[in-house]
Formats: sequence, C-alpha cells, structure tokens
Amino acid sequence: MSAMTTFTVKSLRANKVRTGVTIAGVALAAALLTAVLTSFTSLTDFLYRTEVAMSGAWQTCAISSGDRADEAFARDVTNAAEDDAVTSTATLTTLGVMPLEEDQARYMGDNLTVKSAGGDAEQMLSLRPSEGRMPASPDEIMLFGTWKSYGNVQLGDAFHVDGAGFERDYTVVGFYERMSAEISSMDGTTAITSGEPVTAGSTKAFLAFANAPSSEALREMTDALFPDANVELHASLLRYMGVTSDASIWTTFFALVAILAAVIMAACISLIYNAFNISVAERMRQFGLLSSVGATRGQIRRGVLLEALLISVCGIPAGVLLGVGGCWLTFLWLGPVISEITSGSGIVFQLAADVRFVLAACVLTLLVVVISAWIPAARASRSSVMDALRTQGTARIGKRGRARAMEGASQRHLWREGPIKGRLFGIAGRLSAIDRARSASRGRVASASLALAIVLLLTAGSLNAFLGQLVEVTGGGEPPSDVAVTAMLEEALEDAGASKDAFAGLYEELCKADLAIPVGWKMAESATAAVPVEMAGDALTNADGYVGIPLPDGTFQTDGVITALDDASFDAFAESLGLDPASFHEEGAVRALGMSRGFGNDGEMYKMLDVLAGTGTLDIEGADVEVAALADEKPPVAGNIGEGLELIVPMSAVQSTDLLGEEAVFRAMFDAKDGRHQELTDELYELAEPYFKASMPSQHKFISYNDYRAEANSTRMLGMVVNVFCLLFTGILALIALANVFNTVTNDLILRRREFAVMRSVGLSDRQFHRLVASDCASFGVAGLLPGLIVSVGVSALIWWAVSQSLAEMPYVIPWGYVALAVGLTAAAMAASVAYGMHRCHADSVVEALR
Amino acid sequence: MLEARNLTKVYGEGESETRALDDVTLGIDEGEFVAIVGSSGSGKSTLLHMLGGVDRPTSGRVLLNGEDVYARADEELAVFRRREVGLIYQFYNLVPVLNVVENMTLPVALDGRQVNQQRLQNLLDVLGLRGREGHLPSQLSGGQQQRVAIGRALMNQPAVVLADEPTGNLDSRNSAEIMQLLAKSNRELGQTMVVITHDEEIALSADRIVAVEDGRIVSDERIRS
Repeated sequence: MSAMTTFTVKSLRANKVRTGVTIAGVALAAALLTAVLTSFTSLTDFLYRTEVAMSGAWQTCAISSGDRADEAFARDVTNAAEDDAVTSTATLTTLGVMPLEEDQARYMGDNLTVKSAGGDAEQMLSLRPSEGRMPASPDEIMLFGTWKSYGNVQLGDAFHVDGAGFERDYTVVGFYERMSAEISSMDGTTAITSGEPVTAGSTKAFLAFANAPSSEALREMTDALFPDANVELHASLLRYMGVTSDASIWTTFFALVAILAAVIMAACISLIYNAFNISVAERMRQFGLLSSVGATRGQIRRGVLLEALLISVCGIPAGVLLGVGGCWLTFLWLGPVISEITSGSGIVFQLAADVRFVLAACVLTLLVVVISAWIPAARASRSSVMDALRTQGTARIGKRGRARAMEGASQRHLWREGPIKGRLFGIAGRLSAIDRARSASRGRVASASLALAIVLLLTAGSLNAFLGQLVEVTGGGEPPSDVAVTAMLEEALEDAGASKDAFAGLYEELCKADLAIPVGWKMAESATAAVPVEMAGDALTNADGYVGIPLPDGTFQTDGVITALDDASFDAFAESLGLDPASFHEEGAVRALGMSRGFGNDGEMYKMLDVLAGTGTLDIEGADVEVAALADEKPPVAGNIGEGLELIVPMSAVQSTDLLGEEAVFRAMFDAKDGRHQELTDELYELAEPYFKASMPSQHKFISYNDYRAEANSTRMLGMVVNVFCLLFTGILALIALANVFNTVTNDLILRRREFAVMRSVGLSDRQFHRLVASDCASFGVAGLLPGLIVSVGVSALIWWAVSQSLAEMPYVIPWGYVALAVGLTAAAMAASVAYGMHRCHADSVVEALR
Repeated sequence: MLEARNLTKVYGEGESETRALDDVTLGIDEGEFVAIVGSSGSGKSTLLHMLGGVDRPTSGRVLLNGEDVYARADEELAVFRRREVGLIYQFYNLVPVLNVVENMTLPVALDGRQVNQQRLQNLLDVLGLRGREGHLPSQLSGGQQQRVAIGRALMNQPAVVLADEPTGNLDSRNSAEIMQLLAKSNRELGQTMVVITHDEEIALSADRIVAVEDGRIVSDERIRS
C-alpha cells in the first residue's frame, strides 16, 4: 500500500463516527437514487404487463384493404409468421355482422360481429376464455360474457348467426369477459371463432418482433412484410417498452424522475461535502506536514479523493441493497393496493429492478461523492506548509471579522453583553457571539445544514399535503351514501306526474332490501332558465357569456338542473337552513331553494362560480319558479355541487307540473347495514330488475348500481399509496438532512477543541462551557430555522400553485404538522450532535489538546 | 506557598503504562523564580500542569498556601485557574477569534468581574502592545503573541505564573525580550514564577534550578538567594 493510501485509511479509522456518518450519507444517497430509479422501472414494468394483459402483446398491426383480404395479404401473413425477426403473430378476420333483437340489444348492443382468430390470439390479443375454451374449428364459437348473464346462453348450446351475406351455426364452447379494443366492435359485442381463411373477410394481422429499436423501425419492418397494408402501432405498449416516439407521457415521467434525482443529489452533496470539508479542515496541519516532507499537491488531492472512493466502496453497495430491498418491501405491501386501484387487471405491482438503472444509480452516487470531495480535496492540496504548521486553530477570519475585532477593543465594547444572550448565557454567550461574528464561515455551514433540513422536510410534507388533497378532491371526498341506484325511463310518459309516482313506488320497493338504510331519493332534470339581473351572480353577469347569455329583456339565460327531493329529505334540508318547510308545499306555487354556487368555466378556468346572488322568481322553460332562499351546501341525498344553476324543490310541489318529466333521472341512496355495501348493491339489483319488468310503466333506458363506498375506499387506498411514498421519501430525506446537521454541528465543536482547551486552561468552567455550546446552538438554530421556514413556505406555496393548476380553489394550508416535525427532528439532531460533540471535547485532556 | 507532595501521574494501563511523574515533592516560595529543566519526556510539562490545576494527578497533592488544590470540585478548580494561576505556553495558545485585549482579559471576563482598565493599559505599555489592542492573533508576530499570553497570565495578578518553554518558538531577540519581561515581573512585582526551559541562559537567570528526569526530581539547586 502506498504511503498516501496508508495515511488515508488511518485517517478514516481515526474518526470512526464521522467516517460512519459519511458512509451512511453515501449509502442513503445510493439508496434513494436506486429507489427512485427502481420505482420507475417497476412502474414501467407494471404498465407494460398490464397493457399486455388488457390488450395483448402485439406491437404492430397490418390491416388489409377493402372488404376482404386478398391472396397477397394471406401470403404476407404466412411469410411474416416464418420471418426470423417476428416472434409471434395473430390474425383477426371479420366474417360478418348480425343485427340483434331488441331484448338482446339492451345488453349486447345493436349488432353481434363474428371474427375468426388465428395464430397466437391468446397472447397477442389477450383473448382468454373465462369459462370453457377457445374455439378450435370454424363451427365453434366463444361469446362475450353478457350472453350468458343476460342472454341465457350456456356452454354447449347451438348458436345461429344470420347476418347480411353470412349465416352459420355454431356450438358455444366458451365465454370471455375482457374485450380489448382490437377485438371489440363498434356497436355491440364480438363473437370469436377459429379456422376461417384470412381471405374470408377484412383481416388484421398482429405482429411482435424480437427487437424493437424504435417505433419507426417497427413500422418499416411491418411495411416491408405487408407492403400493401395500412400499418398501426400498439402505441401504449411501445410507450411502456420505451420504444415509442410519443414523448409526452415520458417527458413527464423522466422530468419527475430527473427532478427527484436532482433533489436527492443536492441534499446528498450538501451532506457529503460538509463531511469532507470538516475532515479536511481538521487535518490541515497533517496536510501541511505532508507538504513539508515532499508530498505534491496532486498526491494530497488524490489522497482525499481516495478517501471518497473508499467511502463509496463501502457506502454504495449498502445503499443499493437498501434501495432495492426497500422497494421490494414497499411493493410487497402496496403492490396489491396499487394494482387494485389502477387497473383491476389482476396484474400485481411488483419489484422489477433493471441492472442498467441500478448501475446508473451507482454512477450517480459516485458522481455525488466525487463532486462533494473535489473542492475539499483541492483545498487540502493548496494548504500552506507554514499556515498549517502554525498552531493558530482552524478559524478563518476575514476582513469583516478583523474589523469587528478592532471595534471590540474599545473600553465601551470590551466584553459588552447583548441584552438577551447576556441574561441567558453570560460571558459564555459573549464568547459565542464573538466567534460567530468574526469567523468567516463557522456557524454558517451548521445554519445552512439546519435550514436545508427544514426545507427538505417541509417540501416533502407539502407534497404529501397537497397531493393528498388532490387525491381526496378528485376522488369526490366522502360519498353521499354507500350505494345509489340511478335510472331513467325509456319512454316519455304523457303525464309527468306518473313518472314521479312510478319512481316513488320503485323507491318503496328498494327500501325493502334487508341491508338498506334509506337516505332518500330524488329526480333531477336539465333545464334552461332565464334569470333576472337582480338574482344573477357574477358568473352570469361577468363571465362574457360563458355561463350566462344576456337576453334582450335583461335576463340571463343559463343552463342548470332542477332537482326534486322526496318531501322528507327536502323538509329536513329547509329546516337546516332555518326555513319553514311548509312554505314550500303551498298549492299552486313552485318554491325552490337555489344553490348560490356551481362549477363552471368562466372563460379562463374551470372552478366554483357564484351563480345566484339573490332570491326572486325566474322562468324555467315557461314555468315560474320562485327561489325563496339561497344555500351554499346541498344535503347528501341531493349529491355534490354540480355545474351551473341548480334549484331544489320538494317532490310534492312539482307533482302536478310538467317539470321533471321524460328526461328526469331518478336516484335513490342507501347506506349499508354493517358496512355490507357490496351485498346491498346485489340486493338492490335483485329488487329493481323484476320491479321494472313487472310494475314500472316503462322499462329503463338505463339503470346503474353505484357502490360509492367501494369507490371511496379505492380513493382512500390511492391516498394511502401517495402518503406512503411521500412518507418514505420524507423519511429518507430527513435522515440525510439530520445526518448533515449531526455531522456539521458535531464537527464544528470538535474543530474547536483546542480553542476550548485554551479557555479551560485559563479558567472556563464546565458550566460556562455548556452555556457556550448552548449559546452556539441557539444561534445556529435561529439562523437556520428562520430562513429554512421562510424558504420552505415559499417552496410549499410553489407546490400548492403547481397542484392547484389541476384543482381550482384548493386552499393553501401550511402543513403545520410537518413544521412541528421538522423543528422537532432538527432540534433532536442538534441535541444529539451537541451531546456527542461535548462528550468528545470533555474526553480530551486539556494538556493533550494544547500540544 | 506552592507545594507539590508525592505527585504521581500515570498514563495508560498494564504494558502501556507510563509514569510521567513518580512521587515528586517540590516546594516553591512566594516571589521565587524557579527554572525547571530536563530532557524531552522527562515530565517537566506534566509537573507544570499539575501545579497549575490543569491536570489531576494520579496520586499526591498540590497545596497552595496550605490548601489542597485538587480537593476542589471541577467548577472551583476552574475558578482557581482563573484567579491564582497564569499559564504561558510555548505555542502561545491564544483564542484566535479574540483580539489582544480580549485575550488578555479573558480570565477576568470568565470570572465575571470588571476589567481593571488601569492595569490593562499598564500591561499594554509594559508589554509593548500599544496600538495593537484590536488585532487578532493572526495579525501578530510570534513575539507579540507571546506578549499577549504573558499579559493574559499577569492580568489577574495570580499567585503563580507557570510558563512552559515560553521562548521555545521565538528567535533570540524575542526570547531575550520575553525573558526580560518575565524577570521584571518577578523582580519588581514579586510575581512567583515557574519556567520550563531548555535554554541554559534562561535557567541561570532563575533563583533556583530544578532538574527533572524520568518523572523524578534529580537535582534542586539554589543559584540565587
């Protein structure tokens, strides 16, 4: 081992704590970078596998021209299957279309399209039977699952297809549940058979290639195989393979990864730079001695860089293992949650580490370390022999420090104590203040470390707070009920009151569900209103016609919704506003509660607008409706605040009017007993379907059963995922920041050992020493905390601004919890640093320190 | 006035045990100028630091005016060092961020007392530091720094001044000036002085020469009465 290597190794061993902290910092840097890049590769892998599961593994598609593929196309298909560059092929030939009966069309669409699948359709098109098997011959067929659920078709049944110029008899051999875009047809479901020639109809040939250098190359290779066909690319799959030229989403991804990596690198450079800076400062005498015995600048610089390399050799592998291991654990826990809320494809989000990206993390970390060590290495190499050999301590005092020293010599200023520090810390406070005022950089580094720690912690906290809000708001917040049934009649009834009676009966029937806790029901219908100017809010009067169109008579025309609640729900709502419900049930008058606000686009952005400013009577499609009072919030049964104008009336008030007629949508809301919302949804289905068939005056145009609670749980899980990732990010950043504080504060004390020993030798007592250190820490703390908090609030406001571009009127909230956490953690780190630093200083013999 | 009785200082344990001082007994009268001589590693500095209340002995006692110095708690020991001892080192050991007057008056400030301005100004003149009051140690020459260290040692009018090779880092001219100052302080002000030195001339200017070797006093010769 060379002399410099020996010297370097011994230096590292001499201060095990600092070396350990620096290695930990390098490991954390490597861990974070590895985690970010591994999360990226895992996400990419998940998206790729999900896309394959949902849409198949095909990369390009050649489409025959005309109504039928010709022999040339058929030959191209055969050649493609035999081409070495092609790993897999599949074909889908459209044989014919059969119009469906009315009762079938309700559930299966207007038409049934029959397609023949060839090649490896299962893998290439994600065409898999959920029951039975794939058809193996031209007389076998596989149908979409609704044929069994609603069409009463079973496995083994004969199935006759009679379309224009196409008639076949099949045996049903299977059903499938997932219909990808490639398989689906425009206005109905698709039935799959097999074994028909490619020339039997228009055909798509799907290809997958062994090598996919770029989307252009794939297109060219496909063009070469199918010179007369149109070529399409599987853009989403190629995107997740990193092949596509479609840059938009990857720009966002890469930008996000790059930003995260940059933040991590900046934080780690700060930590590791401080560590090397202190290490070099502490050994300037040694470097001077080395110079005096003939070490060149290059040798000294290389010595420090060797130290960096040795630390990297220890820290990077540990960090990579920590990063990959951390991802594995995190995805083990969150993977199923992410899968469930994002795709429902059954594909599990799992760890997918790419060696290239792990190596990239190693290289980036090494870069961080080299950058961090470069300046200290250069400083060490430039150490003056004479300055280093003079035992003047490590304080670097600049011009300002010298000027302040000059001022301090006058009788008036000599040992003058400040009003606060004097009372709190006495002469020790004065010594601390002098040191901070006159030393060029001492204290500033510690304060900067503190400030950085606060900024990092609060940035992560703000990210968590605002992303969490975004998730919650876009998820719709707390649902109005656990389950809702929404329906619309197919046929318009002559008497608008009859539809109200019919839905009232439906609600009564649904209330019979064992698990149902009725919340209420409503009917709602779009309507156009003419709003007098005295009633119109800013959205109507000032939005340049985006919300309200001014009419010649001075009123504003606007679109809105009229909602009728069941009487009990409406009365409760009116009472909650301090109104007399009876006044809304008077004969011959329609009196409503108007929502003062609604969402809308004011020409600049979509946000909450002031729609109504006052009460009065407005015209709704020829009917006078008196808005007796305004409300800011709606009861749960009325749903969330919607767009534009909304008026709420009791059902009985509109019973005998033409309002809420053929276009009205019914919604009944229920909470589930014991939280059994999924079972309640099934119960309501079992009640509603037969009731519609047997008792409603018209069948439903549509009916849906919304499990709001399941959706809310999904949103909550998404929020949890966001929280977990933010917390993990916060946690690791906190470790880096606090390690930085520990390193800086501890070593600031250790560097002043000699100074402290001098003071102790002339009579500085232990109590005075403790007060001196406490005064230093108080100064670091204030100097670091205040700027850190100010910058953090600024960064927090920036993050809020960025997130609020997607979500208007998201309130800005300072994440006070994280402020407290940041202050608490940094105080704890400082306390630990000070305790350790003082222990080191105390442990020194005064005599040894003064040698 | 200042007495060391059976002082022993042992560093390390077992095989690495080193006896820096071995049962040393020494008495110093008020106003005496004692030179301590001996080869490197003989225990001179250790003895000096024991006398100054800087380093606790392994065994033995140090008595100042009959009072056991090391019977005090650490806090009181610090007060002892401020008020009763003036320490001067070979490498000056000034606080780098304090200016000349601050370094000189540091023991007074630590004691929480007002600086005696007359004494301060006097010392500045005697030590030739007039005009340098606001300078930092880095702005002073070696000789000037050592004068500041002397000023710090004398500011509180301590019972004893202990100097560990005060001229070891200075050229001959500065050395002579420093020793003149110390001698003047001893002769004119009756300051009790203990100086470790390798310089024969300096040793011969003392009242008494104590030779230390291998942690023991090997000779104690009075040169001047």
